Amino acid sequence: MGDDVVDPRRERFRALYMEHRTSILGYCIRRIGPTDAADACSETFLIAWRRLEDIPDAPKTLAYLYGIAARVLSNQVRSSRRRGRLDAKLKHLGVNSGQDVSTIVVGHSGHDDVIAALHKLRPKDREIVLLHNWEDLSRETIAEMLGMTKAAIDQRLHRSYRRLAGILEKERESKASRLPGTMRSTEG
Amino acid sequence: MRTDQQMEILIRAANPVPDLSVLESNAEPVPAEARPSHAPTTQPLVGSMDPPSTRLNNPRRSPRNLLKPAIGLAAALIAFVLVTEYLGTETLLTSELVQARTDAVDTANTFVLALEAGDVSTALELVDPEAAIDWGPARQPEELRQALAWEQAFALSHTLRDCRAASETTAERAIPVSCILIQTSEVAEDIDNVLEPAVAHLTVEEGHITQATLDFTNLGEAAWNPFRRWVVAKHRDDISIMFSPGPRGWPAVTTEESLSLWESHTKAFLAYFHDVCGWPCTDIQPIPEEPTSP
Repeated sequence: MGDDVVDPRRERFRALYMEHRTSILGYCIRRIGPTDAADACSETFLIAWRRLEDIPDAPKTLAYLYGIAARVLSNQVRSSRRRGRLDAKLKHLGVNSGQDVSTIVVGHSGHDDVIAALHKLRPKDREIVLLHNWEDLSRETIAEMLGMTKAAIDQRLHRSYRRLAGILEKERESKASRLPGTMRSTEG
Repeated sequence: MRTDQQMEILIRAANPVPDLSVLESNAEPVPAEARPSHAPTTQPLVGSMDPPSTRLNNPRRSPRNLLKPAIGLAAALIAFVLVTEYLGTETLLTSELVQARTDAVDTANTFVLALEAGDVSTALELVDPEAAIDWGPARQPEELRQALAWEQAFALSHTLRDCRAASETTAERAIPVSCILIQTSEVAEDIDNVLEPAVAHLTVEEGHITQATLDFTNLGEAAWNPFRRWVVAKHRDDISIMFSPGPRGWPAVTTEESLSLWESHTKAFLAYFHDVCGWPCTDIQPIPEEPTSP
């Protein structure tokens, strides 16, 4: 009895899951790599299920789910850091405890310089840059999601792009100076 | 140097999963904890996702959940009786109170938004001259200017999220309003600390604020203490100029000289963590001193 009765809560969750699972999984893969992304994605939807009543309707749904995923990932990274500190201590004692937390990666080999530069941004700035460029969220949506004004998002994006450009420029110059016989820009 | 537009093209090109349809064709099994207990473990994810089986989605089977509607019904009945009684005698007062609460929230909103915009004059017009103020370093209305100057020097800002009047029905003229403010601190962000929203507690009486308190929540732990430790390590001589328990319990000094140090040292702190120490920087060593934080 009751199995064929449509549970609206369950149906809503199913629809939400079907519509946004790929986006959330993509979000997680981009930030922590494919190995742990599936767990983070599941965790995100478990929390979404528990808090289904709080989840806003479209078009705000996905941004809200990104917010949950960000917290899930943040917790994962924190525990990775704790594990990293423990690993360092164990290594000091001559014990090898396995995976190095520094292997948590975002990205792939073709754009290592850009990925490395992104890592040098402050976490919140990096998140804003990635939400805009990788998750394709509008500046208005990001502002609402993070409780900031659009002007603040504009400013942070601009500042981050300047910083990234500076880092890449420095990196390029440094590479050029290491190449034998390369013409370097004149220094007076 | 590349333009912002060129940077966006570069960053988008570095997206490790630019095409989400790749993920669709590579669906993984349903995670055990998100699968209903009757589903086979090897069932593919797409088309099979059910929410986790919990007590919440089987309310008819749980004695605890039978109790909840009963309690709810009883509460509703009591509320109905009380409201009926109240409306019978105080209908006019209730409508006045609703209006007063709406006005109080408007006043609180205007006050906080004016401070956010740095418009102290507008904010002060709403404040009773005798108001009890506890807003950062400000203990009197006219000191709100210094409070804002200190926040600016410390790269701290607020964005109003929501103001609400206290929920209890009261016939008092003084209406308590709480406002949630999203805090942005460059210092906290630089060291990857999460700043919780601040809460402003205001009392509004006939259109004027008679009491205003700003609770910074975890600012002390997330930004203040790390910054202070850094100042102790790098600019020990300035500690006595910038920090003081003070006669009124606020630990930041807001004299002109002090504010100038707050501003320059905050910038130096940010530059240090941006350009010298790099990310993640673990260069703030705990200094065993008395914790003095807002």
